[in-house]
Amino acid sequence: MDPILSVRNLQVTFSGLGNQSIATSDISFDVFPGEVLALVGESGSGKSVTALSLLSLLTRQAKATGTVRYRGQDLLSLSEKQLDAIRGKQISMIFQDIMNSLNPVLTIGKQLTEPMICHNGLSQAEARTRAVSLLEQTGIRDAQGIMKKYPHMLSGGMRQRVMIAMALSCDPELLIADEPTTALDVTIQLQIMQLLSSLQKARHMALLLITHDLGLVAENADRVLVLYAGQCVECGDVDTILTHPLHPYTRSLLRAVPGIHDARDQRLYNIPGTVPESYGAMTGCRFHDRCPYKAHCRDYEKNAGLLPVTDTHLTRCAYLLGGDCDA
Amino acid sequence: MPEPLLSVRHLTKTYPARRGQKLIAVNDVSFSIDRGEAFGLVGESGCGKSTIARLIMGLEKADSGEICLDGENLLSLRETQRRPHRPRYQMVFQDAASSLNPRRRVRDLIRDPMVEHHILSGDALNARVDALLSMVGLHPDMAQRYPHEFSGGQKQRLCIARALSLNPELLVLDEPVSALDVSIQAQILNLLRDLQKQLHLTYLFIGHGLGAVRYVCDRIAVMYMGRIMESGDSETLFSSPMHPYTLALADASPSADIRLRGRARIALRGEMEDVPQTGCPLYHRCPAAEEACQTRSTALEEIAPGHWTACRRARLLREETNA
Repeated sequence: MDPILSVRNLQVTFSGLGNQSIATSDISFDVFPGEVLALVGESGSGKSVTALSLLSLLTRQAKATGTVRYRGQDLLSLSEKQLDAIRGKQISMIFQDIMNSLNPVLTIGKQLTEPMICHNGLSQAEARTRAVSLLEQTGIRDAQGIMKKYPHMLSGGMRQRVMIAMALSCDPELLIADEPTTALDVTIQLQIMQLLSSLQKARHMALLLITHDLGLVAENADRVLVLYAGQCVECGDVDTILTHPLHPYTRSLLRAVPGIHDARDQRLYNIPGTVPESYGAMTGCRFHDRCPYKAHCRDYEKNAGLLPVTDTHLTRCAYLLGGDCDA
Repeated sequence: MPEPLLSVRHLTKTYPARRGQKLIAVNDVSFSIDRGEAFGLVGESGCGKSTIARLIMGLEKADSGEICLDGENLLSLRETQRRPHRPRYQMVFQDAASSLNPRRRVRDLIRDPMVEHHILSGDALNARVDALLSMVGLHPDMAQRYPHEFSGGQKQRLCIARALSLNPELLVLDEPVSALDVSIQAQILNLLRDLQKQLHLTYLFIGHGLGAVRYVCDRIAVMYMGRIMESGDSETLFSSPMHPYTLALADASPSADIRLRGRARIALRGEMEDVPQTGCPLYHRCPAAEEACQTRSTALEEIAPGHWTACRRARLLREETNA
């Protein structure tokens, strides 16, 4: 099967005040039709920058290099006008900041019909009928009533449902969801993730899920990319990554989350230190300073690329790949 | 039995709402915390857990009820009478960055409470600041720096050091790790656990991440719309919940354990809404609700030793699951 989106060597550099800082480097991945791919990482790992750069949504100070291949064209080389034809139509996006992602002075109906009128050439009336049906598909009971409301009249969960309806209005092939539930309470998060998952399956749409929550990854993703300090440190199918991770960062992260059924006397694993500040210029392993294998690893100054563990599992740690995995 | 260190009885706080109505933020809440115990309050945003913290600290005025520290009702004291008690209970807030004055050096920030309460002076004061910094895992040399020179996790360490400066008996921790990344969360949670043992502290730990609260606390109370729905031992509360809300909350918490993928989960319908304060506040969302839940009161009932639940169907549900 051919991927619908193919990202190669994506590097995003921010420049300003004479300085340049590299936010992400050497990010490569494919998204296949109908799959859920998760990008997981902590704040500053580059996951949102990666997501935003795919559709050239970053500020002007940012420069993305590499290729983002979609249907034979490189999205990074397209003009704004060409991108407009793709954004919201074939590839759409929902954001974390539900409070600011809807226009406060336009009714939900107006905002929801706009993409269908622009992209699909629907008439006002056709678009309205379809908008109501979309809202109903997202589990909103009083869809007609919601169409007349303004964003501030809706709760966070309702706004995210509206965002999802809007993102799906033109039947995209790929939906990019950037921390779609981070601003919501857990019971609402569950509702929204169940909704996203059922819509994704029913429409056979690919979903790129950006999250910091390994729990959401475990419950929703087919494959996962773990990002650390602007690099992908490990990727593979979700079962492998969460049960047999090979990169020390992935391993540490999994041991640092307290579960609600864990033994309470067992101490949480501390990842010492913090993410390096200016990691863009680092050549060797970016996790070395915090790595539990620090004392044993000799090759940390070498720039390890992603190395294959199996056909589908890649890791950036040459030390653990070389054996000694249970140390 | 010794007197609990903190005992909250029938605490109620309302705020004025639109059209002359009242918003009941905290509704007849009672709980007590023994000396040396870590007690958790969990719930979703708007459930009233942070309001309780603010009421205990005296940052808000309660409508009615009692907050007793070692048997003495703080709410009946005038501010001048309350002041000598203040060093005994201290608070750590969620947003560490905004709880540190950006224009003051760390040494001054940590010293202030001790100067204010005339605890130490001179060299002893500086030595105490150094000791507090080491206690929370920071280097004493950092005392000359300003808050912006610290990372998020380090800022929270500073807040903890400052809260400890007056040798408090009770620490009120309001979402102390919610703003932090996973790897930093674990550092702070471990620090809090260590400090509690080392200094025999009593904690009121407020949070929405069930795993984190459970990791630190011995007992947990689950709140919904200003009321305690269920409370019990943290070891068993989420593994054998009796209240449908606790069950839903535990089910909704994402788990990185791949074996739990696709598990049957209870999803609550709809969202938290203002409902008439008769009957169960969860009524319109609850999967187990029946007609009578809408009108009958739901007082906490001890369903097993130390395990309290406010669901009138809990006993029935339990019998059904056991059958």
